[in-house]
Amino acid sequence: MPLNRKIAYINLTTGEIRKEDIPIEWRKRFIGGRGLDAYLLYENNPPGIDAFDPENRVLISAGIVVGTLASASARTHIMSKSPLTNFLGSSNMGGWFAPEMRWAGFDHLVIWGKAEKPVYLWVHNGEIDIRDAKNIWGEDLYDMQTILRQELNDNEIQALCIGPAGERLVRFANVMTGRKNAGGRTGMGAVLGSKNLKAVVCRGTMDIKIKHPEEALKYNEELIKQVISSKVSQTMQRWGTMFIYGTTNSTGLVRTRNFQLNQLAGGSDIECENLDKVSIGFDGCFGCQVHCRHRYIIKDGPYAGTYAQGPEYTSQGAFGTEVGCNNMNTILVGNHLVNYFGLDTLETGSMMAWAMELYENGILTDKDTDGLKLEWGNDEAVLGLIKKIAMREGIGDILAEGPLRAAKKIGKGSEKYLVHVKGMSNLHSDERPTPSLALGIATGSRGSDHLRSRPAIDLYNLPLPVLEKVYRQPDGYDGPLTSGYNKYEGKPRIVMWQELCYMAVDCTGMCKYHTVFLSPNHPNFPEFATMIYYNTGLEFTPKEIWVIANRCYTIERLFNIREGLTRKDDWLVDRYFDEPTKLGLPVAFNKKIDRKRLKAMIDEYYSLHKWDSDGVPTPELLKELDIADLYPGKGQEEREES
Amino acid sequence: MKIKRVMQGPRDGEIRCLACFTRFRPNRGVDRAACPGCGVQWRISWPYPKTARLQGPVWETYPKPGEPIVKK
Repeated sequence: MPLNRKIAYINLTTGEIRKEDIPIEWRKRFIGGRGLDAYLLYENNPPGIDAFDPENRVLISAGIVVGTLASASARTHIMSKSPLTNFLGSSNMGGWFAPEMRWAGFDHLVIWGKAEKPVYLWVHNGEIDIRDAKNIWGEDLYDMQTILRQELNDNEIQALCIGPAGERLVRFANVMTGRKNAGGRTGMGAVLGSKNLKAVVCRGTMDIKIKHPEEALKYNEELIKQVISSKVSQTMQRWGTMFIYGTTNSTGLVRTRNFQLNQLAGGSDIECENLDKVSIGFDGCFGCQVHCRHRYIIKDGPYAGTYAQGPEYTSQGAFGTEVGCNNMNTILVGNHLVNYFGLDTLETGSMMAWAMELYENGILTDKDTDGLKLEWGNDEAVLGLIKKIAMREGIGDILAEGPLRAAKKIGKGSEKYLVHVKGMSNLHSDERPTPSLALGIATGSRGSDHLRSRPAIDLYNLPLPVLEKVYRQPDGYDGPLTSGYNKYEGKPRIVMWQELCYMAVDCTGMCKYHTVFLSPNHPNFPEFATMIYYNTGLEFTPKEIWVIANRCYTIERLFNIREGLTRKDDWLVDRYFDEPTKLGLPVAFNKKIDRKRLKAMIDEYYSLHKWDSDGVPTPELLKELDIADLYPGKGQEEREES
Repeated sequence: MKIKRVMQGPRDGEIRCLACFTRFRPNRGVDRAACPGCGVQWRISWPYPKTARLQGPVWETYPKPGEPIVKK
C-alpha cells in the first residue's frame, strides 16, 4: 500500500544510512510531504545553526498520494534552513522525480553532514548508496542528467540536481529535475552544494498498491473533468502560466523597472501568443492533464538552436518587465540560462532589476560592473548578468549573496531600493493595489512569496456568494469577507484559508494548479480528503485536513520564531507605503498600501491563527493542535518569562 | 465540494473587461473588441475556437493614467 514507503536518515560525513518505517501516527498528524518535513526539520535541526553548517538538515520528500492514481501527484518538496533568509527554507517542484523516489521505496530523505568530496545519492528499490560525483561535478543541469543516465546505464532514472550556481553557494541556487522543473526559492541548491551533494538519483520498480483502485480511478476522472472544464486550465494548457500576463499587465499589477512602474506600457512582444512562433509542443509532469509548459527552440541570437522548456510567468517578469525588456527572445534565453546554471529565476530577475536601479542612480558604475551597461531594457546586460551571478564573477559575486547581504556590501543607501520580505525578493507582481496579496507576501512563512498564501482568485473580482462558498468551509467561518481586490476588510481570512489549502496540497504532493489557486471551482479540502482515502485508505474529513494543515503551518511558524523571527519581519519595505503606482487602470492607478490598515490586517490575521500580538502561536493553540510537546520557540519562552 | 455557478448559461467566448468588470462576448474570431460597459478597447486572442482570451489593451486608446473609466 502507499503507506509502506520509508524514511531514510543519511549522514554524509560518516556515510551512515538508517532506514525506518514512517509511523502511522505521523501520517495522521502531518500526512506527509511538506507537513511532515516541517515537523522533522523542527525536531532534528539544531536551533540557530548556520545554513551552510554540515549539521543543517535538508529534507527531500514526496507527498502521500504521489505516484498513485491521483491527478498531478508529482510534487517533490525540499526543506532546510535557508541560506538566503536565515529562516525556513522550502521549495516545491514538479516533474517525475517524486514518483520515482516513491517507486524506489522512500517518501522522505533526511540528509546532513558534509561529504569529503562531491557525491551523489543513488536510491533504488529500497537501497541507498553514496557514490562519487567526480563525473558530474562542474557540469550544467542539462548535461549532468545525461551523464548520469549513461553512467547508470538506465534512461529511466530521475535526478534531483544542483548546477554550477549551487556548487558555488549562490544563496538563491535552485534544485532541479529534468529540463525545467525547479525548486527555486530560498536557496535549497546552495544547501546541497555546501554538503558536496550534487544530486539525488532515483530508480524504482516497487509497486504502490492502491487501497481502493476502482474508486480511485473513477474519482480521478471526475477530478480531471473538474479541473479541465475550467477556462483558466484550458488556457494554461494552450500557453502555460504566461497567459496570466494579459490580465496583470493590462491592469497595472506588474513590477516594472524594479519598483518604479507597475506596467510595461505598450509592451506586447512578450505576450504569450508569441510563444507559438518558437514552440514545438508541450510537456507535463507525472499524472497531469494540463501540460502547462512549452518545449521550445530559441530562434535568434547566439543561443539559436538551443532547446529548452517553459518559460513561466515568473521568467516573463524576471527577464521582461522587472528589467524593462520587451523582447521575447531575452525571456527565452534568460529562462534557459537560469535552468542551465541552476538559479532561482525570481530572485535572479529581482537582483538584476535592483542592480539596474542602483546603476541608474549612480550607486553602481561601469567600474563596478566591469563595463556592463546595466540600463533598463539592455538585453545583453540581462543575459550577461545571469552568467556572472551563477559563476560568481565580478558584480555577480555580490549579487549572488542575495538582497540583504548584497546591500550591506554595496552600501551607499542601496538597501532602500530593495523589494523584499524577510530577505527574499518578490515575484514581479505589484501588490500596492491589492491589500490581500500584500498581506500574503508580508506574512508568508518563507519570505515574499506568491505560492504559500496568495489568494490569486481575489483578482477575478468574484461575486461575494462565490467567495463565501469557498472561504466559509470547512470550519464554518462566519466572519467578514469582501469582494473587490482594493479592499482591506475581510481579506485576512482569505489569506489564511489559502495558506492552509496550499499546505494541505503540499502534504498530498499534488500540484497547486489543481487547487483554488486558479479557480474557485478547483479542488480543495474535500477533494484532498477523498483522494487520500481512495488511494491510501486513510480516512480524514475535510475539517481534519484543515486542522492538520494548520498544525503543520504552525510548526513552520515555530521554526521561524526559533530562528529569530519577530513581528517586525512580517512587514513590507517602505516603497509599498510611500510610492503610489504611476500607471494602470483606475483600480490599480495611484494606489499604495496604508500602513495602519495593513497593521490592522496583520492583527486580524494573527488573531485568526490564534497567534498573540507578537505573532507567536499561543500555548492554547499548541494544545488544541496537539503539538504542545514541541519546544515552543525562543519568542514564546521569553514571553512566558516576562 | 463543487461550487455552484453563480452565473447561469453558457460562457463560450465570454471575456471580462478589466476596467469595469463587465462580462461580454466579442464576435467569434475577432482580434479587437470594445467593452459595451465602458468602451475600453481590448485585443482578443483565441486559444480555442470557442474560448476568447483578453490579450491586452489597444495601447493607442488605453486610458491615460488617472483618466476615469465611465460606465455607460
